[in-house]
Amino acid sequence: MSKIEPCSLEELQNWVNSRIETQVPFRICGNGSRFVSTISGNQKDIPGDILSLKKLNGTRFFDPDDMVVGVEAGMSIRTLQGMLAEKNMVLPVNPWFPDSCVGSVVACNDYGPNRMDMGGLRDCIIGIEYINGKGELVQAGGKVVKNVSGYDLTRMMLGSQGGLGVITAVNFKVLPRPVEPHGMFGIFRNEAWLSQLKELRKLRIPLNWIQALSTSDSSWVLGMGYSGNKLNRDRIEGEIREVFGNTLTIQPDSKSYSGQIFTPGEQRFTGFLPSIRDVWKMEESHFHVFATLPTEEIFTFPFETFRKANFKIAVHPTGGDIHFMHKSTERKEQLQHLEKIKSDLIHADSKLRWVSSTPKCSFMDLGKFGVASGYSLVKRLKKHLDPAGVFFAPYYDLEFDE
Amino acid sequence: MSFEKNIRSEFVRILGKEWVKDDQVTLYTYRCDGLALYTAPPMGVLFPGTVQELSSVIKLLNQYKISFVARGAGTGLSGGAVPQEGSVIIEMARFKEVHEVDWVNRTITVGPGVINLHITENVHSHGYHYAPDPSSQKACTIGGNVAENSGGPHTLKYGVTVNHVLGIEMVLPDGELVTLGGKHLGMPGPDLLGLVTGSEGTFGIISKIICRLTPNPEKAVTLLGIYTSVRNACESVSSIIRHGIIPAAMEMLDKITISAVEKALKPGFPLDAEAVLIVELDGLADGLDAEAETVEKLLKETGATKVNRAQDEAERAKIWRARKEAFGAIGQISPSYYVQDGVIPRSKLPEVLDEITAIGKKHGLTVANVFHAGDGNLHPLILYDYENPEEVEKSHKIGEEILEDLIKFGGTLSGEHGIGIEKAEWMSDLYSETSLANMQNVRVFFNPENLLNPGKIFPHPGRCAESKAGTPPPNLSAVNKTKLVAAKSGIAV
Repeated sequence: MSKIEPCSLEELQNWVNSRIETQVPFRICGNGSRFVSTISGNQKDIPGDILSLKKLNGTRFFDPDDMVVGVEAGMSIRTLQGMLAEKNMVLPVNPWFPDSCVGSVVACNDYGPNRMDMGGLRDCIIGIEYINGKGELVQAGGKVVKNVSGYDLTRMMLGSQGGLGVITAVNFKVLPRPVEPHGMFGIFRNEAWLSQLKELRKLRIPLNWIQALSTSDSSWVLGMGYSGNKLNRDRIEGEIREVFGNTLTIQPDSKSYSGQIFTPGEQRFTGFLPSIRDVWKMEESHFHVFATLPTEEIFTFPFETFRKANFKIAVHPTGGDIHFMHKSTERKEQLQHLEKIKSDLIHADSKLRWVSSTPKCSFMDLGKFGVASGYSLVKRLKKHLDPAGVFFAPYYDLEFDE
Repeated sequence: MSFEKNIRSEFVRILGKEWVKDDQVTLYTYRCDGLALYTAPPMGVLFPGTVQELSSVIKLLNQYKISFVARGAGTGLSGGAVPQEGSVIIEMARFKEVHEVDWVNRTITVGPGVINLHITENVHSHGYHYAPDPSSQKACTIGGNVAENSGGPHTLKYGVTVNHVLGIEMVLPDGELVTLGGKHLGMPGPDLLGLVTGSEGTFGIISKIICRLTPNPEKAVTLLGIYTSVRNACESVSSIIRHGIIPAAMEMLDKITISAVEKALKPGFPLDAEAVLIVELDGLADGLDAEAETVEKLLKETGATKVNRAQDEAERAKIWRARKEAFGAIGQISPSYYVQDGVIPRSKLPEVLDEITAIGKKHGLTVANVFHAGDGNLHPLILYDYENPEEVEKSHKIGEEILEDLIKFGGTLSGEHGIGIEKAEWMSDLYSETSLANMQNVRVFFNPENLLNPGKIFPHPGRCAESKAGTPPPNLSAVNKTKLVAAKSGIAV
């Protein structure tokens, strides 16, 4: 196995061209934050060469007045968010691994709890640069926030899992940081919060995020983020209390949630995500998939059985997805967990994704649940755009009748 | 032109006699869309009523290698539904069923022939609306909106069509039915739904759409800033955004447009103002007044001589009517106008507006401006007399120079009208040959024989060099730019 880390776009393009010429496939990784050296045992012909974009991490432009930024694919989301924060701006995307690079986050179409009301990557991405299956450097989209000039190749590359080309740079529109972010938090001994949330949703109040986490003592922590001036927040807090009673605690930004197992971190805007992994002591080898499904199915999902079976669960109830984590590391056990989850996903639209490729299980184990509708079309598109078959991505390799 | 007898009988077998039309009145009616004076009669018009019928006629067209174009309400402004090459038009008006409203998931599933505004009318009393609101929303269909990725004044806060479509059912040019997306927000794999949205009907014909519903704002506050300088009005826009406030809309009208709307609609805009800026804030009622006070302060700090606040719904409606009917009002001060659509980085607004004025002056014509200031989406209106050939030619030159300027300042050719026929020849100015070739390669994947909506979006082969020089290709079948300029006259967008 060899790892290639080009230092310039030209070096990268030359290397990709050499692979296309010789039709030798390779894998792409950014900072390696969620990339494991082996991809489960049921994968054949895994390429030995790994292309890392870690060194292509510059800023192409940052125009705070226009609220647009363009960065190279190897820059980490943490670095990007830091740069934006200096200008009181934010990209409303909080991937599970903050050190994931921008290219990886775009290729996997990651998002976070803010997806609900502030949009995910597909709502923020305005331009892209990538090396295509002919080894050419393609630029699509632009630096403006509204653009219908030609095909939206930018969104085509979003979620492409590295299978349609090598993403080298991405342009985003960003948002002002929310005004005075706050959160309301509460502990629940059972799943009663689900029906309460359903009632809250009927009130149509604007929340930045909702997140529920199972705790080690088999209960739940529920958090809801919101922002705005005091009158606005008072109204939101009042509405939430109408539904949940007076048991929830209000926490402004930068205040820690002391004395609890779960701390939401310093910033209310990002929910619990920054600290969940540490608190749960979850490792890369552990079982961790998430399901995206319509809101209604989340409200009726049988969480109790999973909670009692020692799963760690994170739920973004509206929007919406469920993360299932378990400390099991053996393939057989992990597959059993997977089958259990599949059997409880009622609707055909429900989809599953690994948060990272684990050494024991892979994308292939997800089967039909791991791909979007229109999968056969996507497979054909992959063949059309990558005729040399160099952009290795198991996403495109499943065989089944749709 | 009309259907050959044997082909016609096969269409009749699939659709029934009343839904296959190739009489002269029909062919005349369907010769163009909102780009009114560029015309090309279709071979005929088909009116499928079900997805099975749609797929069957497409398979037949594919079998006979006849090109075809989908059409909604025909309100498009870039010629996207003009049947070049005598294509058959597939009229989607019969797909107007509201299939399902799902309140928990906040979605509505509709046919592509449903009118944009009707979606909101279906759900408004339940506290929801469909956010993208192009000015033609009383007439345009949701299918056309998806094809063009339409916008509207409220896209600053709420986003454009692609942000509000969660799933589609589509028939590919060979008749295959595919489904993309669904009722939830995240899907694995490439975002083909995003790719198809805005592809101007060249990838497939959409037969069903799942739209996202947005909660109605509890309250809206509309402010009108009055300025003695366009530059100051632009600074107000930046100042509001810098303060972390994203209004629902920020729309600007310049002095010329103000004089037109005052003549036509009398909204009470001061005639001595150089510009007015409409700022609308919406959301929960609580705290909105405080936010409006902040915005009012910012407007004054950045040069607004006066800020009026709509005191009731009637006053608010009056302001919005002036904005939405501003293009039509131009008829009060000029016999014809040519509207452009382009986007620039918001911070470049003052410079670009100065340049646009200078371009107009250089050629001896006036250019009015009314636009979506919050997202830098300009709509320069070049005023000319259609009866005067010299002015027609000048307006054409001005339009070209404006487009060149938008690109020079890091902007793009279209923010919401699309490329269609109108701007196809300018695409090579905006994108590299490689990038354009990649777009065409994607079109080849979906539409390998180019039977579906041919002649749109891309420059004619070999024309790039001529286009870059700003010279219309000779004998170009796609665009007669003089006609094009005239075609834009009097169209309200």
